[in-house]
Amino acid sequence: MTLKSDTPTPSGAPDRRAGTRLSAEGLIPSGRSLFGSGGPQRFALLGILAIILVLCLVFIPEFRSWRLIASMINSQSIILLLALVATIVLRTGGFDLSISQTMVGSAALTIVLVKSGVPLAAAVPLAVLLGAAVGALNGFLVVKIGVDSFVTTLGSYSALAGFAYLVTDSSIVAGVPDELVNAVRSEVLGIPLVTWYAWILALLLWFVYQRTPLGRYMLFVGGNPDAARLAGIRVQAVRFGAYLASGILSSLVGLIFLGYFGAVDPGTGGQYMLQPLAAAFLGTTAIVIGRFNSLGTVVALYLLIVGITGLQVLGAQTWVTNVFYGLALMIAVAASKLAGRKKALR
Amino acid sequence: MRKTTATLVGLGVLAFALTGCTPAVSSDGGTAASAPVDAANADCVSAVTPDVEAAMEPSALVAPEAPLDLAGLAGKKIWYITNSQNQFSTEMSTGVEEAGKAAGVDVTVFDGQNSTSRYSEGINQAIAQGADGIILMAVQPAVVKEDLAAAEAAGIKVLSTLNGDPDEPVAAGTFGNLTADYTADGELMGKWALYDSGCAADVVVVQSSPVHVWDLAAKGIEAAITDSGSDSSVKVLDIDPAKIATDTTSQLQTALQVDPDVNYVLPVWDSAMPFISPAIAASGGTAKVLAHDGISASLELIASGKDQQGTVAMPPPGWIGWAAFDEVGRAITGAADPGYVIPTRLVTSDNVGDGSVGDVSPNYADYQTAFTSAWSK
Repeated sequence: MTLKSDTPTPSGAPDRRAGTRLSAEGLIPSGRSLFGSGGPQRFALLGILAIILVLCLVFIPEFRSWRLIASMINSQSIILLLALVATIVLRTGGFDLSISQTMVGSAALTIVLVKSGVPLAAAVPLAVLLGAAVGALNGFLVVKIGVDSFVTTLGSYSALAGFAYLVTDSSIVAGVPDELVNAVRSEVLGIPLVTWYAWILALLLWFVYQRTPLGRYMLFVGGNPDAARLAGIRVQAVRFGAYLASGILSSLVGLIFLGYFGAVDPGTGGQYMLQPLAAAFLGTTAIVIGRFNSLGTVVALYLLIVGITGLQVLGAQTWVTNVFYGLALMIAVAASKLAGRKKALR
Repeated sequence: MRKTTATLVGLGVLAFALTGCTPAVSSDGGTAASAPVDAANADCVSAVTPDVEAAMEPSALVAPEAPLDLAGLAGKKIWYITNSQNQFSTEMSTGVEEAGKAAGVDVTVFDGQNSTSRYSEGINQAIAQGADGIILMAVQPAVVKEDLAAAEAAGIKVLSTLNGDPDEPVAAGTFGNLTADYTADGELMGKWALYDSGCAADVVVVQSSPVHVWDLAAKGIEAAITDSGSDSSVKVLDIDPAKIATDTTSQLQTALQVDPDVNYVLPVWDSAMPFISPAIAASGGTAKVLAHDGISASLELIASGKDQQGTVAMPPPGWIGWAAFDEVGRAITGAADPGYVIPTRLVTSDNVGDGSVGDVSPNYADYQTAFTSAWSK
């Protein structure tokens, strides 16, 4: 059996110009490449990252410090974790805007329970249960009822923001148990565990996306759900599962968030809404071009971090870093799109 | 593939085996001892010591002396429009509501949700619903200039709160500004760092300049350090207000790595603490932290000896709510504006006690009675 398939774009919509023929067998990983297809340009962003890093090392003396490099790597680990979680639903063609508030809501629930005397070991499963409930509700509304994913998750985003204010009584709640702080901030090889968790999640998602049938099914469902259905893939189950996994993982990120900051400010969820999504989209320009992928997301985020840190060390004002962030996103995604068109024409 | 996975797992196991885990939180949670006073900086220390010691004394109670025309106020409507919903604004709104209840005034609380359009909506709803007074909580009047003009035209008395220093001109459309002296508080923060370090302070200030009061405090700190004539230095991190949660830690972490000699971090608001602590911990945890506001979470941290060493504390936010209500009430009834200034107290481990209002603001334990007694004289 052969199927007409389209190459998924960052938006999840099929790119008609880049149409290729894909056999049902093609949905199963071939094992021929670690990173999938995409030509040499898939390493272009990695190359730019390396060039910027070398330039910074050469021209900015402060960069020649392991502590600064480590601090750069660590500083955006929460964003990286959320960006990786964001790729799950994005890969299936949907949006999950609620991940940042699920993170804050779970963190808020955990700390409030702990402060009220509930053991941490009991509070953690309840926080994960909250994430699962949010993911299941999002999945039910989007997959079963057919509500647009953007609208659904924007709704749960708002409701969870209110939930965080409710459980914390609109207050910053501090006093996180040391065991949770140590489980996040302790260092291994000079790198805090929070960063290791992000790297482990990136590797785990890379394995699922690139090396398992599920990863290919997600991609296929995101690119062309009708064709995927005809190919026998359980489209609804895959999409529902993506929302569920997104909710559960977001709540786990919430626990990491809690340990990292040692307190919860219920008003912070909004500031974590867009940056992870931007990193996930930028990640489609690296490693596996045109597809949401974990290693591309890691490379993209580190490119931004190195560039922004370099600017900060040089004394750039806040607006300069904002401009850098925005331009990097626009240029990288546009360049990737152009490269994709050239490839399709050949 | 199996080879790759096995190699990765092997490397991971080896790394853990060789290095072990370094705990992030020590059991003592102590901070570095104060630096010895250098002879060359003795003059600097002598100059700042009286101000710091005076600022550690409890703030005197600020309360009305003249009665309030409660009969004239009965049945009036006052709107309280917040910048956003947070611990400070919520506690202050409780104060406004309590005062309203005591004076027989109908109080409506409107959450501005950190959005200019919501502030505008709140003011226009207040106008439409026949409000007699409006209290703007940390909403910069300039961003709702036209709405304030409409309120003024409707005869509504608008009080701005927590915007700028007390001696700044009153914004158009408002009759007053209930605030603290943020510039003086910033200078006090800088002086404390000088005092505590023996005038050998390497300071990083964390602020967000679009928030006017934070900018004033940051400038006060800079002035205190640069005018001290000591070897101390100061650097200001100006964070985008829309990215405080995501950027503060990373920018501070970078600053601490670039200059490992930083021994004081001065965020100009207490709520920044969750984003300050991880950066300090990642740098080795020796820099001391002094912030501003005196929210209960920070007072708890100071009392526990963890993460934060001090704050410039305002009285309980509930008192600010009562004082704001009092000012608006007097404006509505045509009485003279008392022109309250929010007092502040330098709070450190030396005078925080258990972090309660009784210990931090002992003269404010029963401020409500001070208001109601004066009102009914």
